[in-house]
Amino acid sequence: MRLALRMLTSRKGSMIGAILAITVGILVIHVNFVIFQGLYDAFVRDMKAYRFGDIYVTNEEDYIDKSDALLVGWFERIPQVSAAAPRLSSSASINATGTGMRYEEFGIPIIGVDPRYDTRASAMHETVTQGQYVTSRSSMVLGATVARDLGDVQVGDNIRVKIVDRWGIDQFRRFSVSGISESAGGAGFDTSVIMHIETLRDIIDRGGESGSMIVRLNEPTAAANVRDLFLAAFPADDFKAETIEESAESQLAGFRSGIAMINMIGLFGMMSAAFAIVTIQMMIVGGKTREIGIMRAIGARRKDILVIFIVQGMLMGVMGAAAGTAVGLGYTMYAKETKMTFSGSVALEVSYNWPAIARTALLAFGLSVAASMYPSYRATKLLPVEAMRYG
Amino acid sequence: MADAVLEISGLSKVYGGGKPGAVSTQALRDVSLTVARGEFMLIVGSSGSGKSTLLNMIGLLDRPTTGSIRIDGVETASLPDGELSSFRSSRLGFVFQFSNLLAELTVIENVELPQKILGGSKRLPLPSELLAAVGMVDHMHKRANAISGGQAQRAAIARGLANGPSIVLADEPTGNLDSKSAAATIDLMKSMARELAQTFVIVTHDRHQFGDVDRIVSIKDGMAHEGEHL
Ligand SMILES: Nc1ncnc2c1ncn2[C@@H]1O[C@H](COP(=O)(O)OP(=O)(O)OP(=O)(O)O)[C@@H](O)[C@H]1O
Ligand SMILES: [Mg+2]
Repeated sequence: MRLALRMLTSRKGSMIGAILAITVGILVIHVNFVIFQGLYDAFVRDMKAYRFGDIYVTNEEDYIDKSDALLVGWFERIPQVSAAAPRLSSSASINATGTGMRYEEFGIPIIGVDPRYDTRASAMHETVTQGQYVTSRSSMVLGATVARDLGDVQVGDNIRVKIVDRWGIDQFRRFSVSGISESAGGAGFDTSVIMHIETLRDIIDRGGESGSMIVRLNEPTAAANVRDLFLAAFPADDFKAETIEESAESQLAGFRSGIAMINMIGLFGMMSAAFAIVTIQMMIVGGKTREIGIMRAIGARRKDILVIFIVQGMLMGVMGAAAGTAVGLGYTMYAKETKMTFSGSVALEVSYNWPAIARTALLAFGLSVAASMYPSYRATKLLPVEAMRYG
Repeated sequence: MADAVLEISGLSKVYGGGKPGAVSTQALRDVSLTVARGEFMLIVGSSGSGKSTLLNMIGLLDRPTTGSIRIDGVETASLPDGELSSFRSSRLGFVFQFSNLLAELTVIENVELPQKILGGSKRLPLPSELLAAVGMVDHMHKRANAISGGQAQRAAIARGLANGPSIVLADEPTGNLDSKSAAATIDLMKSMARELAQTFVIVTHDRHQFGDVDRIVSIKDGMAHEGEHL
C-alpha cells in the first residue's frame, strides 16, 4: 500500500537506520560464512587431499594387518573409487649436521607412504616444493619447518634418524633428503617427515602392516555407501571407516562451534535491527495518532490499519534483507574471484550456500515483520475519536 | 418524520464512569433529536457544553452510554466495531477542525481515499470533479501539507463528500481559519448542500458566521434545545 510507503519515507533517517542494521546483521553472517566456513572448508579440503581421503580406514585398536595390495585391490574394483593407499605413522628423532653445527629434533611425526598408490590417492606429493617426492627406500621428504629447525637442511643432504621400534629398541638409519614439503594452512606436512612405507615397516618391525588406508573417490557423494560396503565386506576385522565429514567433524568440532558463535553475533545484529524497527514503528504510530484516527473515521477498519503497519514492517524487512543479501553476495563473489586467503596463508574454500543464504534473508524478513506486530497492534487500538482532537 | 436521515433518542454520554472512584462527567443528558434528509443544521453552545461529544456519537466515532442512534433507519448502538467502520465508510462524511488531510498523500489521493476504503459498490462522484467544485483543481497534485489551511478545508469538504454520504459531519470546520477563508468555506458547504441536497450537521461556537441555515440546535449542560438559546 502506497500510504505505508509514504509514512515510512517521512521517517527516512530512522528507517534507513533500521534497514542498515538488518543489512549489517546479514553481512556479518555472510562474511562469517566466507571467512570461517571458507577456512573450515579449506581445512576439510586439505585434510581430505593430504590425510584422510574421502574415506579413512583404520583398525579399531591396532594396526591393519590385511595386506595393503589386497585392500587397495578391493577398493579399486568399486567404480566410485578412484584410488586407495596405505599409510603408516610413527615418530622420530632426527640429527643433522649443517654449517658445522649439530642439530637434533625430537618427536617428529613420520608418515610412511607407498608412492605407487599414494600419488593417486592423495595430493601429498604436490606439497613437495623442492626436490622430489619419496624416490627410494633410503630417501625421505622433510617438512619445511623440520628442515629449517634442523639448520636449513637442503635437498641432497644426509640426516640421521632414530626411531623406536615396536619392541622399544632404538633403530638408527641414514637417509638422504629427496625433497622438502611445504603447504599453507595446518593440514600439510611442514612439521612431519615422509618416507617409504616399506622402510618404516622394516624399521619398526611391522612387516606388511599399515596404520590406515585412505580412499579417494571419483564420486564423493558415494562416500557413505562405499564405507558401508567396505565394513560389510570385512565384518571380522575390527575395521573403522569414516567419511571425510566424520573425520572433519571430530577434528574440527571446536571450529564448528566458533562458526556458530560468530553467527550468533550476526543474529544479535538482526535482533537489534528488530528492536530498531519496533522503536521506529512505535514512533510512527505515536506521531500518526491523528492520521490513524482520520483513517478510522473515514471508514478504515482495524484490519486496514494493521495491514498498513505490517506492510511497513515488510517493506523494511524486504529492503534490509535484499540489501544485506546483495552486499553479502558481493563480498562472497569478491572473495571467490580474488581467491582470498586467510591472513595470507590458506586459500579459503569460498562457496555459495544457497539454502543458508535464503534462510538468513528469510529470517531477517521474518524478524522485521514480527517486530512490527506489536506496534501495528497498538495502532489498531487507537480510537477514531482521535481524529477530532487538537493537532 | 417521513424521511429522517438521523433519529436520536434518549442519548446520554458519561465520561470516566468506568473505574470506581474516577471523576465522571456527564457530557450528554437524554438528548433526542431527528434530522431530515437535506437539512443544513447547526449545533451551537458554549465551550464544554457537549457539542463535540454529540457529534462524535452521531459520527459513530465513540459509543453512547445509553440511548439509540438510527442513521438511515439502521440502529447503530449494537453494531460491532468492524460494521461501524463500514457504516462510517458508506454513510458518513467528516470535516474536522484541524488539518484533516493525510500529509503523506496528495490532495487528490486524500479525496480518493474514502472511495478506496469503501470499494466499488456505489456510484460515486469523481474526485477530480469534487475538487473542481470546491475550486481546488489547480492544487490537486500537491502534497496535502503544501497547501494553505483554507485550501485544506476545501479539500476536506471534497473528501467528506467523496463517499456520497447520508450526512456530512463537521466539528468547528472554520475554527482554525481567518474570517475570509471561514466565510468562503461556509459558502462552499452551503452551496454543496443545496446542489447535492446533502445533509450537513455542523458544530460551531460562532453561529453568526453561518448566516441563514435550515435549523439550529443548542446544547447546554449536555441537554439539547431546539433553536438558538444564548
Ligand atoms: N474524552 C473525554 N474524557 C473525559 N471527559 C471528556 C472527554 N471529552 C469531553 N469531555 C468532557 O465532556 C464535556 C463536553 O465536552 P465537549 O468536547 O463535547 O464540549 P464542546 O461543546 O465540544 O466544547 P468546545 O466548544 O470547547 O469544543 C466537557 O466537560 C469535557 O471536559
Ligand atoms: Mg468541541
